[in-house]
Amino acid sequence: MKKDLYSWILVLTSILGLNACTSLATVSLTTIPAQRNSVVKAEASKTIFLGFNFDNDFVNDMENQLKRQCPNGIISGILTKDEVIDYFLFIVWQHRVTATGYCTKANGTADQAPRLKTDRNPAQESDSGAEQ
Amino acid sequence: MKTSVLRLATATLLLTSCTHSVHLVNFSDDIPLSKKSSARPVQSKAEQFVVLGFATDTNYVNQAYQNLQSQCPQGQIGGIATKYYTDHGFFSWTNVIAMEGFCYN
Repeated sequence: MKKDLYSWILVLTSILGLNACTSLATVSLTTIPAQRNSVVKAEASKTIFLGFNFDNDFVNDMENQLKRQCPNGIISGILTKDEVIDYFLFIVWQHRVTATGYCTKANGTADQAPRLKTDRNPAQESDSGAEQ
Repeated sequence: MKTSVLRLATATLLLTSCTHSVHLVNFSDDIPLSKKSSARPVQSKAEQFVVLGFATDTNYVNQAYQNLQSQCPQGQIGGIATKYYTDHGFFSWTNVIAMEGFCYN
């Protein structure tokens, strides 16, 4: 009887352990554009062993991944998912972040679009102001 | 008698989906003021039933995303409220993703 119980526990543990159980940690969605022809995607993941994780830098390149796919447009309708995939009894797991969105043309092109105020260099402006 | 009532109450609590937890609520940018009167609400919901944690994907989120877009094929969707919550059941639970927004041209 006891042997049967141990066998069942072993089987259940194996099933639980060998399956990659996936759960959703966070999700976010931005305004979806009318033009949805050009899809852009970015993905980043990190495998973590026994919870030893010293930074979350793996997500930093995602923004550039998206920008590279849409150099002259605007990215919107971005669905971002942060998933946790448990590979073995919460000893090894993976964080996977995926972002999917749409690249839309700006009015004209991005090169012709007015630059943001954040692109200004206040130091240069004050210099030119002083000259005037 | 008292024990039976307690047992019944416990079983009822466990067998029915009696607790719910909200994991996150997210809002996108609101729609332009000039479009408020003409915008129409759209909503989408997708679920995933999970027994003992066995779930191998989160594709239900993508289903909700696609479903929301299919309701507004020609327009923009803004003011989107995304809610992610879980309804708990007996050794099982249902993950729910609900998206509500406004379609405008």
